[in-house]
Amino acid sequence: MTDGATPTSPPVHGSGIFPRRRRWPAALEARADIGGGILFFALCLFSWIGPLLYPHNPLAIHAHHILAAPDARFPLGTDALGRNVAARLMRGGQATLAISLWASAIGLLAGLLYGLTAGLGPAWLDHLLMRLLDALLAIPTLILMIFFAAIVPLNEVSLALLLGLVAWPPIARLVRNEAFAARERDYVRAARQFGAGRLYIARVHILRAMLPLVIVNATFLMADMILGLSGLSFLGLGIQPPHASWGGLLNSGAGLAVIGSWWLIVFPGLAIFLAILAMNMLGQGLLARLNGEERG
Amino acid sequence: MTMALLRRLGSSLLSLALLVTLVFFMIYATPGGPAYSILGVHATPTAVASLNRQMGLDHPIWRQYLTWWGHLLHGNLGYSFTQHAPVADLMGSYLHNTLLLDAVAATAAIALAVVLGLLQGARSRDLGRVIGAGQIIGYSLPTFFVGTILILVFAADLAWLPPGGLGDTARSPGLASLWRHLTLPAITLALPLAAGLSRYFGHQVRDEYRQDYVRAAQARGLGPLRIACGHVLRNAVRPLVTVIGMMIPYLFVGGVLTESVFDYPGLGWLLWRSALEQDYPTLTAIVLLIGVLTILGNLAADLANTLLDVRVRYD
Amino acid sequence: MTADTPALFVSGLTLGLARDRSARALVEDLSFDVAPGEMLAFVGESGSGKSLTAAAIFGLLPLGIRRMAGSICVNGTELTTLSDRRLRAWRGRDMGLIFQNPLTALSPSVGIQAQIAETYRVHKGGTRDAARLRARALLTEVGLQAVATPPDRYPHQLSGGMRQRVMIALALACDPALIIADEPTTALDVLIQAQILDLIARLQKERGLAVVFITHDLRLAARYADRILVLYAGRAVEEGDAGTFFTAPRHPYSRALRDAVPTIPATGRRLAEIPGQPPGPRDLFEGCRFAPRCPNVRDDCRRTEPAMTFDGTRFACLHPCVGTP
Repeated sequence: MTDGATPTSPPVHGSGIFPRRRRWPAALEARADIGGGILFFALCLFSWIGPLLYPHNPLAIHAHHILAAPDARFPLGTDALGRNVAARLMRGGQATLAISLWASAIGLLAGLLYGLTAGLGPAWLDHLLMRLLDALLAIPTLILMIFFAAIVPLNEVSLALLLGLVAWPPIARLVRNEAFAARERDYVRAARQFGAGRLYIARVHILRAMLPLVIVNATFLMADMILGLSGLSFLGLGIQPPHASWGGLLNSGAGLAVIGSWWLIVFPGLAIFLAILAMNMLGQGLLARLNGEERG
Repeated sequence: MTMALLRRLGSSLLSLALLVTLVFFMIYATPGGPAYSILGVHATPTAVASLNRQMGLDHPIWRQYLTWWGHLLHGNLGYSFTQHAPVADLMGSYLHNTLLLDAVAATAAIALAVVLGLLQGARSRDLGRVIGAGQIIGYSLPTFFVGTILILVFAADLAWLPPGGLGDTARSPGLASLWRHLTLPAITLALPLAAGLSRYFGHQVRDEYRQDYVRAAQARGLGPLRIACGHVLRNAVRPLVTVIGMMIPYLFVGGVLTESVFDYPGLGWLLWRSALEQDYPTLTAIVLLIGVLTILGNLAADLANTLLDVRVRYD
Repeated sequence: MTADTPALFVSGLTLGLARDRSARALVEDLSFDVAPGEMLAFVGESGSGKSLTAAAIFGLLPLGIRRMAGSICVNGTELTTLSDRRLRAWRGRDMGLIFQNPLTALSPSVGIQAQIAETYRVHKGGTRDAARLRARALLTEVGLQAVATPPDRYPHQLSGGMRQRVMIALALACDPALIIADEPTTALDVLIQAQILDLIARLQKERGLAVVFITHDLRLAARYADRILVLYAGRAVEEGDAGTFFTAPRHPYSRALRDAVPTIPATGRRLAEIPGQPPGPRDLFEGCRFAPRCPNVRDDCRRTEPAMTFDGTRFACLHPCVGTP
């Protein structure tokens, strides 16, 4: 209760017999966003800068080194066709992270548009759109992804579109609720009194007010996208072989790991885990900061 | 209160209707049109044409829509050409297996979450931080990764537990075998769930511990265990019920991945296989079923919450 | 317990921040006692340390605040040397605490009878039914005949005044010798205030309870308490009989407090104000801590900290007020 953060306020309030303890806090949570950011940056470096420092063809087959354990020549071993796992992991990282980022951007945009339309449009439209959203939200995201992945031809563009267009409903709901709350606030009402148009208000007042929360949820969306894409690839419904992806590597390694080639699943699994962890830490940390600010 | 209940019920029904409509249009949008989605992509053009006539798929869309409802209400979910059985018959045993796995995993997750949440919220800051770090790691771990590692360690290396499936229930029936087959998938499914739930519940408990009544209970000489179980838990557990309702979608998502890792013959596994084999009737039916179960689950959670809330019950 | 053992005896109590040694003590060298059947009122502004003192007596100081020195005896037993586990047996059994806001201090999803019965059984054992009967008898005693029957009621079903009565019944569950009431009426409206305080006063007389009544309202203190202790910035500045205290306070702070109380009918006189703010926990000072705001201040006040002296009442002031203004 007495550290330097609050030097001016007395630690004891007269009201109530036991002063409130300070909020559980969160050194861990406040620093989590920095840790998460660094981790994510490191993974991006690994995927894009790594191939420059370690130029090996992820598709090249080394027939004499099939299922080689990690050693000096193949730091992360080779797979059943004798391909370099380290190189495949880097290329897989590019595909996984890039598609996830694009998908998040698409999902975010779709969610923003839908949510703002519902939140700022007339009441009947809001009602209709929200009911529709409820029905959409009833089907879990990954299930919908699997459904569409079974229907459309799978390539990088279609995957980004598919993931993004499936993932937006939670964002849309958040945006709609925030917009709904914001438009009843005094400054927005005042702006309307002065004759500001709907779009102007949406852009200047409402979007800006909800931006921090949207950013936080975008990081969680990104975590979901990485998980979704990896999950799809793991199920054989994502990035198709021979192209590498983290989920795909895990999938093809799963059977071989059981007979001893542990490196085939541990490294891609760790990569997926770390990417999701990075995004969750970033989101949690930002959220803790945001809440801290609101509490004052 | 009755009015609120009816309104809640009405909104669930509306969501259900919209869901059915949504799925109808999703099939309608599949390449080749609904006939392909019923016959599968391997159907011949003549078969498609005859089915179109036979099922009235050459009718205008509104009539097809009504037919779709009619089939659904009669429990007719189509015919799976890859499994050679009506989809409705097919799903029974898979649904049963999934519900079994989900029930075990959910129970384990809730129990773990309550214990962890109480520990985290109750007192020690350091313990709370350790648990907090564990939680964020727990729900960042992809289910399929945990599953494969568990198989690697406990089934392949140590050979303590079977690597997957449900065993030959006809040959070696009995609870022991069932439990052995359920253990690894249930742990896999429960782990991230417990992480998420306990995080939420821990926050709830922490908020409760800041309330005056906790200090009042201490001032009456009640012990920490009694305060935790008799007072804090009672107040913190109510919001947990709603969250338990919200975890149903997660159970299905985690279920698909877990069941495919462990080759567990459940709904998620069936969904995965039918997606790979482009068996659209089965795919559609499962998506619809999962949607329905999710909506019903949320409804059930809301009702339970209403019943548990003394404030609503008595006023 | 004999009549001359005080129910509560506190001497030299000093509370301070555990981690910050540069800050001054939050409560400094506080000594007082309360006899059975007596009501002592703690009067002071917010932050003067009155609630902290109560917390210290119960051994429930908030995190980061520590007892630096002093002893606390309840019914002749030293509590400061007891382990937390042993002390727990004393809380609720020998001393009861009444909170400011009964809505938040009652466990919201446990029935009121169940809460009273639980407290009783934790300390005295016995069957569930016996404890229930006891709970109902207590509820009747505090004037809640209406809810002293089955079925059990939840706190949110009661009005504010009823809840505070429940709080009192709860404090009385095990027949304690000492009750500490921390601003028991601040959250209530005026008519209910009087009812609650009348009830506490009645129970004090009937049961021979020792009561510590914590309040910032000098009028209520003067009306209900036998003795008054005025706290300023963690230090007792004056202690004395309620009657003489109100007519002739010696410490300038007490007098200022008294003169800041409006009377009905209004006298037409302007109410006195005390200029300035009480010191925060980080303001260090030499000499008397009231000196910056004191109308009687002289040079020596800023150098020497006045000790408690006895002249009709006990007070700590180098240049006390004299006569009855």
